[in-house]
Amino acid sequence: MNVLDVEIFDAGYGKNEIIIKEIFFSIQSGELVGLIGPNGAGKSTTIKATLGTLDHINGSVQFGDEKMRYSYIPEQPVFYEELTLWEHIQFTASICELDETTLNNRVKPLLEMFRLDQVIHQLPSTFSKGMQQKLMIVLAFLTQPQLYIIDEPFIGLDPKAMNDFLKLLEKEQEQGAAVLMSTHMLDTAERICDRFILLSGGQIIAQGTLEDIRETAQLESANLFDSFEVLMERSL
Amino acid sequence: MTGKDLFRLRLKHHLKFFRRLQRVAIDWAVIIYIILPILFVFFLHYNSWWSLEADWLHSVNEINLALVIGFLLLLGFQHSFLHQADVLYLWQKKSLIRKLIRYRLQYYLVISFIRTVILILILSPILLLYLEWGPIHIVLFGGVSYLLHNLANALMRDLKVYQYRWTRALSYVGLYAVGSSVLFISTTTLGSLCSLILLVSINIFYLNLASKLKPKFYKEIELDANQRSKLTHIILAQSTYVGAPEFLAESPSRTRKKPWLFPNSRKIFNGYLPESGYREVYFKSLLRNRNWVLLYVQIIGVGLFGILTFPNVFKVLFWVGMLMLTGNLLKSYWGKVMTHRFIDLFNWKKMNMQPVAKQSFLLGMAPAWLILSVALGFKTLGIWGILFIPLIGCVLSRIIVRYIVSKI
Repeated sequence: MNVLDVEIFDAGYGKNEIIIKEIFFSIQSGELVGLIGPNGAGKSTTIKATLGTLDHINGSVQFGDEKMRYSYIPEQPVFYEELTLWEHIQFTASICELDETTLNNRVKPLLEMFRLDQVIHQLPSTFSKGMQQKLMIVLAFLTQPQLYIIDEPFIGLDPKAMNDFLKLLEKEQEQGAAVLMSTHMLDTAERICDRFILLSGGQIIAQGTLEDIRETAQLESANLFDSFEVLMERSL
Repeated sequence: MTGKDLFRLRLKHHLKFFRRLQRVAIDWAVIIYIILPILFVFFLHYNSWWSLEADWLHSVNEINLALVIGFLLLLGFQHSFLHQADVLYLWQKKSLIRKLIRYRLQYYLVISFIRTVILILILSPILLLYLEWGPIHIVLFGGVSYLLHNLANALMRDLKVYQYRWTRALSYVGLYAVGSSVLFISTTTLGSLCSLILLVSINIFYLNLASKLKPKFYKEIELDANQRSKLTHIILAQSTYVGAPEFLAESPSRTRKKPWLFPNSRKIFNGYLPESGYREVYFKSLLRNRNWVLLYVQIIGVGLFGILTFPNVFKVLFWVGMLMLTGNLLKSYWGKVMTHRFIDLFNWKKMNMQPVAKQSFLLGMAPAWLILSVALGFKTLGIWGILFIPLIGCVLSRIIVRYIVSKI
């Protein structure tokens, strides 16, 4: 079952400012898809187009069903300056109509795991970048959506938090959640992603499993990094 | 470089900073829409002071005059005109330190004199016509105010440099009490004369004593920097109300880890439903945002001033205007909260936001309509007005909210 179908002919910050072109892909439930590309390739713009926050989008983005929820973990954490960590959790829980017991059952292990349980009444604006990123992760996993859209999740995270985050993703995948994740960390992506979408210059240059990528790059038994390098050079 | 050169250089930097700030915050739109109308209204009123038409001034007596002027005299700040780069130089040339302090004091005495003259000139119709003081008494009273102002500010500065916060807070209260008492004593000609002689001696004694204290340059520089940042913040915060970007008014640093209001994240509205969630975020965010709360209080303050001083027809117009302004303020903040990037993080359940906004605005407008309506009722219809006008205010607020919500 497809949880996300993206058919974008072109999109950008205006009709005269097109950033990405011909982006077609879909994601099935339980799948982890890596959005890979160098700086300026259009990864974040693809994510913004998927979320519908771009000014100009020529195409369509369809989620599995209308009630389906997604969570977005941005590269730069966003939060209300005036609200405490716990109030962000309360707000998210209220909108998702979680009762207090479910909220506590879900959020307490997450807060303990990311060592945020001692700072719940503090303002996230006083946190370090890593702690702010952890808050974004806690909020995303609190809602237990069917689709996670994650932009460069590893920036600012310590190794333990990164490991815990990957374990959580794996668990969610097992329960049927899909993940679209943009990252620069190709070795980690190679290890955890089921499929890859390789972007360069605002267009998809290859997509599929690691086998498919290798085949397109005509490099047998090469790793993702080497295949990606060859495909990048070919696309220039 | 002599002490005079260093002082001149730093004074030049100081004035340049204020000119820059002025250019950022005050453009032609601010002059036309804010400053000129305020001056116009002020002169309109001031004219009525001289023609004895301002009824409320008949209730001014010596006690409340002393209390108000006592408060005004505590406002002020003595800049040290020092930069970090000067400290090492000054420690090497200690002879410059006393000269620099002397120039600073001389500059402050001149500025303080101009301020006191302006204050006494503004108050002169009250002193001359309503309290029926003679010119000599007014001059003596002006002298007392000037000396008191200098002494209070010198003391306050030294307290900030050499004392802890709690001592300072207590000392301010003490200074205000003593200052107001001296001013009250000076409401007679003989009292003014005695206070003047006493204050001249205390000023000379204290200024001599203060110039011998060991300088604490870093603390003084910190005080200057804090004062500049506070002033910048106030001016730019005002400019955001007339269209400048809001980031201009944001505090340079947030040092509080926990908010001062609801520090333990206690919920305002019960339950975990989308409606209560949005309302909770809206109110907590609004109540903790100092700039917006200040603006809300300012609207009420200006409204109260208009209602208490304007003729009846204008009172009503002012009342309606201020209620509309409050509604508009709440709507603007709603937009700020609901278009926040945090909302993009999740695919929230689609819901009609108008009922939530309506309830929030009604609740948000309650303090404004209640205070302004009670004031209007009391000033126009007396005790009956206090009973009826708030009811009309409530209905009017509902109409305003309905209109504002329809535009969301």
